[in-house]
Amino acid sequence: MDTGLTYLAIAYGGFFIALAGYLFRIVRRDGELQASVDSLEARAGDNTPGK
Amino acid sequence: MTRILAVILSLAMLAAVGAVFLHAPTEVQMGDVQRIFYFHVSSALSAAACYFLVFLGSVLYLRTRKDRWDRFAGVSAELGVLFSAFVLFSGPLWARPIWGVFWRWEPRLTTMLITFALYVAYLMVRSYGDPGERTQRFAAVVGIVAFVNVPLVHYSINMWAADQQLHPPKVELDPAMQQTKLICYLAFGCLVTLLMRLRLNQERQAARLQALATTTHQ
Amino acid sequence: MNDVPGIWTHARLLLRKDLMTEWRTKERLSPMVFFVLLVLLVYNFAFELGGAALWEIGPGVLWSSFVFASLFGLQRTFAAESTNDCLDALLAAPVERGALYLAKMMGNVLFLVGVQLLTLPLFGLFFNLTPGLYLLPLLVVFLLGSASVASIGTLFAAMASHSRLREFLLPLLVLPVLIPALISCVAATGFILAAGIPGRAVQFWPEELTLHVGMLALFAVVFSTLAWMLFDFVIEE
Repeated sequence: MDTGLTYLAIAYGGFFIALAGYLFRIVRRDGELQASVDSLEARAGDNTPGK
Repeated sequence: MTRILAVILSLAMLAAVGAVFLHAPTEVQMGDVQRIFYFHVSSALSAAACYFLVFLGSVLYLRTRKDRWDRFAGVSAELGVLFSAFVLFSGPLWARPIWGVFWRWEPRLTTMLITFALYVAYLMVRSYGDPGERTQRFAAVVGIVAFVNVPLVHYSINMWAADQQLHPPKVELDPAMQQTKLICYLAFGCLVTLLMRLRLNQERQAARLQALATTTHQ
Repeated sequence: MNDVPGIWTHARLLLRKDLMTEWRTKERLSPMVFFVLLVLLVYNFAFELGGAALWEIGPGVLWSSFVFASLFGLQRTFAAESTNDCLDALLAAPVERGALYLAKMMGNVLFLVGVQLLTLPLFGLFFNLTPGLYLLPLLVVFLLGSASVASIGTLFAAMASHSRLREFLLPLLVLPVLIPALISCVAATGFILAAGIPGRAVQFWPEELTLHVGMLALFAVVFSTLAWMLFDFVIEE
């Protein structure tokens, strides 16, 4: 059943690689969102009252 | 809260994988490849749960018109599609060593494929619509139609391909296998919960950002 | 309930308008019929048609060409209302939205059945189909099949113009949803055509037909009702 083990490995390996990739994407997008929030706050802070 | 969930999930996943490879006995006829079953079935169940959540979110959106339900439906669909993709990926990998073919047009796989196509179409309606209330409405309508269609698909595919059935109707599972299956269900439950939480928070954050960005530019 | 006669009256009026327009212009029926002819032509070169293959792939060829033609026809469902703000006028008028759905859906059913009846002789010609009374149950399948297609097609057609996907949206949504109905249409047609195989005892209503006709009726009823309820959400501005 050697080929069976290969398929088993691909299946579970694929699952965890995909999961890791998905989590990585979430984290990266969270980072981008945070960066946007920071830049917005910085810009809001730059607005002088008299504008 | 998220941290706690992440820790619980890691432990659950560890337990699940351990159970799958160490606790569950080797199946007599199929050998070790049968171990794919645990994650395959858990994924299918998770996908089904997610699709129900899409239906729920869609109905609630149309009734309340609150953005949060639209986001809820969208995230659920995304997860549902991903879990379905894994079912369609692991199924052929299991089938090949056992039945000699990667694919057969048999009821369960075919139903899963059609359902997958349905919700991919749902996601396309969301991403190719102009952002705004109208797209949210359309997506909700599609979300409802898709879910109502699923039992019909299931029934008619079973009618169509009854002779092609590769999945045995009722399986007698060894107690250790039952336990492994349950552990995997629980682990996937944690997984779905955590992923939904992460994505929903992210979408809510993105929406707030969008609102902020438009007001700041006035 | 004063609304109920109102909705059917309105639906009938709107339907009459559409039918009269079509009678004068023939801009939906003719292209659809011609399209079916072309698809049959393509299938002839794509597959080995004729001979024993007829009974196996005939129904599939017939229904896939109908489905593809219907996708074209459905795109045009709201075409008349899209110019000159006609749709806004309709929505502003004291007409229930449901009436608009009913009218458009029934119109689509009539167009689809019309195309099917007009192209069946063509199909019979290319496939050497022996004409006979055994073909009569096909009318039922045509009607219910068209109703199934029209029920969801009309709903989704109202959405198509508002997406970047434009004309792609309708097929992408309709095709997966339609699969249960398609399975039954093809199977039912297969059983009916099989009754005409030379040498076979002619059965007017093959017993397997009931199951599939039932499925089509269920599909048409469920999705017409669902689409009618959801139509409001799609058509509002």
